[in-house]
Amino acid sequence: MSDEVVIRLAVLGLQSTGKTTYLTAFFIACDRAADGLAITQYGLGDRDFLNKRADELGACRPVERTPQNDPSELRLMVRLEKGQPEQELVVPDLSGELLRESMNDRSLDTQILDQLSDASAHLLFLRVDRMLEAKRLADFAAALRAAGEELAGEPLPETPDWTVELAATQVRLTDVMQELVRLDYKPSRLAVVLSAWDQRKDEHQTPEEWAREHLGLLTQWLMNSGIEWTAFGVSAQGGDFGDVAARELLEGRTLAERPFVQAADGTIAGIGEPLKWALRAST
Amino acid sequence: MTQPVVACTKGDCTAPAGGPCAIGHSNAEDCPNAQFGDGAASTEQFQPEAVEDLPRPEERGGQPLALSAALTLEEANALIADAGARIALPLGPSRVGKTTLMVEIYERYVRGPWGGTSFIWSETLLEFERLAFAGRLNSGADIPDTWRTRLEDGGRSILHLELIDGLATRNLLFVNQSGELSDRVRNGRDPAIELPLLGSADRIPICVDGALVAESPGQCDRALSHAQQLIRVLGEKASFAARAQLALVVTKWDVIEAAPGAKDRWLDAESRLLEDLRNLGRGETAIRLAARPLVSTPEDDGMATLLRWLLEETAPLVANRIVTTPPLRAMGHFEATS
Repeated sequence: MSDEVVIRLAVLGLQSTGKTTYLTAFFIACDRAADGLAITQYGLGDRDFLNKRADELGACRPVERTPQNDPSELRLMVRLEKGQPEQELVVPDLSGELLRESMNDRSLDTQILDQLSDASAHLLFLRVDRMLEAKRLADFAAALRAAGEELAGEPLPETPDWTVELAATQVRLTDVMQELVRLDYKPSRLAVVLSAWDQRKDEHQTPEEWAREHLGLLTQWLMNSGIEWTAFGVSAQGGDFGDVAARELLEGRTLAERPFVQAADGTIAGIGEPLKWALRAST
Repeated sequence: MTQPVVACTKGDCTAPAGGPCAIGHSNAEDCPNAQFGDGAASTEQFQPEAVEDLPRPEERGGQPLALSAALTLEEANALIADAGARIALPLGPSRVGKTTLMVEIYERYVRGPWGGTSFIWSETLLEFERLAFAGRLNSGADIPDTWRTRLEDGGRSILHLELIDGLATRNLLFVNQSGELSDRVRNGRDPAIELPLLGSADRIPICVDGALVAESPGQCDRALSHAQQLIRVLGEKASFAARAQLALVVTKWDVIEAAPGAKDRWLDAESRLLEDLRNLGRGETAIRLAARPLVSTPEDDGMATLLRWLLEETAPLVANRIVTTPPLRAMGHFEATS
């Protein structure tokens, strides 16, 4: 575990990939002293953003997306393991739209550069149920809508004007990582967080198996990059709020009991494990 | 010379001063670099400096990122100078599948490691995605003409993959050239003028459209004739890089297999084309690419064979020389090699 007094977290991912929901679930676990986590000083920072998001989860409502013009920096004094000293966790802006626009415009926003420059830990988020894999025509249209993207112009089968949003999700993320490395921002460790993990099609698949099947290009790039990486399957909500049966089940649990996390090999882990793994010194 | 040479785009040429042509043309009107009294060039020219570059997005005031578009000649040369590269230049008529062939290689890596290799990097990642898009929408769909034209006729025509092959890393550059240029060479035009990058290529697939072979004996005969004429003109006029290898590549082999009589037609055509290739002394490999899994051998659609051929080491034909990847040369700077 890192012994840094201040931990700056770099949270990467396109829009609507579960970053805010994860951070909210992590905050809740710290607040409820679950999974060995704890907040050690409540008088530090402003938790208005996190408390509002936690209220949403409490009411079984999806967490609101972080708007691009709300560059709130989150600060928490936490203890990540029992017996460990407290550390200040700093999480800069979470807006995935900023990253998306930067990559589309081929000009990396300075906020992202600032976030990366002092980062102690790096997390890369993607939603398993909103991956644009662009297989058959019908799959493509549905995936595009689920990813919150819209086609410009006449819909398929007329070939639309191509935009970056039509590229496969894993390729866009590979593009992100390539450009960061090109700019000398190369993390020694990267935790790939597969969010909405409860929504994956094959519930027997481990995060590593899923990553190798659905992120073929990105996993090759990571393996050959010299970056130590692993995949975590994370359901920060614990289930689909839109599913009546799942919602009933979740309403019967405390917020700290709801999240479900699997490490790469499928073993069950706590909500803090992706962050803790990313902080550990490289092997 | 019927007109005085007033200028030459090749800086060290003395022809404007009354000296000889720097690249050996006895008749200046044959030289693509010569500029005459009326300021007009003598022939159509490949003008690498006339790149109509991609519009840069509105500056955000941030750190500029690489475009991830197809490379210009200059960018490709910078990559070669830095790390070396294997240069592939597929030839063949329009719509035979030259660009699709390159994109399909990329698509395999999107699914995972293959052919004993894995993906490291691409300078043209988003360009590959754009080209792959049409085929994903509609399996078997052609790349839209406008997208292909942009790739072939603009100043950005080179696709890139960096791969790990065993312990070695390799840069693979795919040069896109319009089918029209192959047709001109087939018709007898000088490859040095029509395909100025030919002399830098390490791997030159001669592509034949399997759909034509399958369609009828007459169409198969035309496809054979096109390829044969191209190979023979190359044999008579082209100058190749020391390590250059040519191969015969038939696309849509699954269509051939499914059409009665087509396979036999192709086997006959293939043997004749391989004989022509043999005469060039630049390899005699034949590769059959299927667009869809073959009933006969579902796993073998020829792509792994193609990849191995693209990557395999070959000794340069010139002995006792250290041969490094030369820069890609455009017309006007091309120097003939044996």
